[in-house]
Amino acid sequence: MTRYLLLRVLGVIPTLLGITILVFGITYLIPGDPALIIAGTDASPEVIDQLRRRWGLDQPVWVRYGIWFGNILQGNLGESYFSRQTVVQLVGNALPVTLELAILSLLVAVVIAVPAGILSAVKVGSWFDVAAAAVSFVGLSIPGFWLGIMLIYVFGVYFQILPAGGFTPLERGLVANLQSMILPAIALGTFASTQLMRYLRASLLDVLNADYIRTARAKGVREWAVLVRHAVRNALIPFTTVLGVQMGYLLGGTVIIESVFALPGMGRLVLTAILNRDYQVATGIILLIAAAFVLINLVVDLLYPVLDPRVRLARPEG
Amino acid sequence: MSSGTAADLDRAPVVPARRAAVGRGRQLLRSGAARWPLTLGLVVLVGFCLLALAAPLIAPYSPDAQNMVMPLRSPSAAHPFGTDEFGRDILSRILFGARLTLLASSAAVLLAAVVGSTFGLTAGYFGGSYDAIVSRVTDVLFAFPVILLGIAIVAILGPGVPSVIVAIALASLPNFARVSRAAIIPEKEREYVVAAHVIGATTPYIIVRTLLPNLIGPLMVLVSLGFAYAILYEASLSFLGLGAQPPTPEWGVMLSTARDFLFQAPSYAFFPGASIFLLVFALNLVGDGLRDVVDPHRRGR
Repeated sequence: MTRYLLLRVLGVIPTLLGITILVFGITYLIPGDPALIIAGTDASPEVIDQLRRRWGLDQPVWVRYGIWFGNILQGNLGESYFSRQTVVQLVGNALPVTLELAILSLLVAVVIAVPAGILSAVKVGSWFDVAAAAVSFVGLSIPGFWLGIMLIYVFGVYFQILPAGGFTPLERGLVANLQSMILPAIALGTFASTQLMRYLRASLLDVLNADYIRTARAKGVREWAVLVRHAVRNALIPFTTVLGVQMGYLLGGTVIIESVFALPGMGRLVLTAILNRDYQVATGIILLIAAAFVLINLVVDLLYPVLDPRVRLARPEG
Repeated sequence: MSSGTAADLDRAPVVPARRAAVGRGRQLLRSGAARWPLTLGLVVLVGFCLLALAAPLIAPYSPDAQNMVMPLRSPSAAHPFGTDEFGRDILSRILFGARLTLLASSAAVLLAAVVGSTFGLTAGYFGGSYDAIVSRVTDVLFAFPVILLGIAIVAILGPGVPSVIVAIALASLPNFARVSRAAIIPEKEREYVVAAHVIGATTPYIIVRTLLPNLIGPLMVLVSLGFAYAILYEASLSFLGLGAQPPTPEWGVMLSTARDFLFQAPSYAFFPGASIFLLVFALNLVGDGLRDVVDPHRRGR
């Protein structure tokens, strides 16, 4: 078991290395001389040379990758060409907004998906099952940013009961904060909820056909106890894996939802950085989000044996 | 693999002939009923393609014709979907926008399908260190959310439709590589492939002419679902200002402008989004329907 955990942790390293190579490749392929961008086109050649040396731009590619990679290992992701703030500082301000959005969206998704998925599986073929499948199919096809705009119209413009955009930080009260986050969380979480619901329904249907469920029923365990203690508990194990994957997608989805609702998160940061050609900020954030995606999946994989004793006790091959 | 065959042999005589016949009849009925979503999806998809093709003939106005006297109007007989901030006819702009969306998304998906399944099929077929490298690269690409890949590509190529196509293709590629790799590995051990080897068929012939036709089902499912995602992402990237630029009639760009006029003209934001939704919905129906046809065991799951 320790061997499995160790292999899984070590297996992440090549992927993370690959991510750094790809992101560095992007910074390298971006046209235009960063020194010219920082100094402006009318700067003197001496100033530009000086800048080149300062940023290590006069070195060959592999040296630049080495410098860049060394900096990342020390937690230095570069700094904004314009505001001179480090990427770490910028991210420090934006990350809480994005994390709150992603977590609330996942919460919205789970709150919808778990009851709907369980009920669909238990009453398979019923009107509820059919209706839930249809609704989830619609939810799966709605563009999140359009849903967001329509929510802004209904609740922000027409009824005027929720803000039409912008972010209220937690310091100004939990209620105001949640009011500014609830519509973005619904817009982002809807897609995830359809995925989670379908997955939970399918895995619960598998479990309900298992022999130990028949055994439990045969020995006279009450139906709700069969469901809660035997079936749902087992179906939730693979569900956590999907939850991790969805969390990764939600992080990516925050870019567009933050843009719709004017939330000052990582997505808005990376978008404004790219439109201003502030490339160190942009690539730094891209690197962080990709690495986070890999690490979230790692954590979920590591959690699996904790949740499922069968995996913990089995001897995995290879 | 051999255990699968043995289980099939075991199971076969257990079902009495009469029950099997009834089962088959019921199955036919059920498959007829189960196929209506596929039909509906195809009808909507073909409808969109025809409307896009015929846009210059059926659009009531030129997509660029401005009419400054009547900006941001609600739907009316003259303008069924209303007008935008320059008084342009939204219905006409949506019809022309369909052309761009359909072309860009299908180009991205085809690119991803060809390149991705080439890598996946060869990786699964040859195995070894080549397979390890391809799988690793796939893992790396998987870690990048589509929108972020789009942002990175735009940084390199500049905003525009080609950047969006490249970004979506790159992001969809790992799916094709993974699915085709997973599909070819069990398939390459089958007897008909061994037979092709024995009669002296070359490796490219075996992959393309012998194996590929048997993998086309799962790949078709992936193409239609990938097409749905491509449309979503194309619109999203344009919405963010990374793809088509105004004044091009494009659904994402229209939505991005419409957001600023929600108070005056909510219908302006409704129709482009509804078009994206309908098209994506149709493609999801097609993908799901195809999956049921390809893999009948999955039906109803």
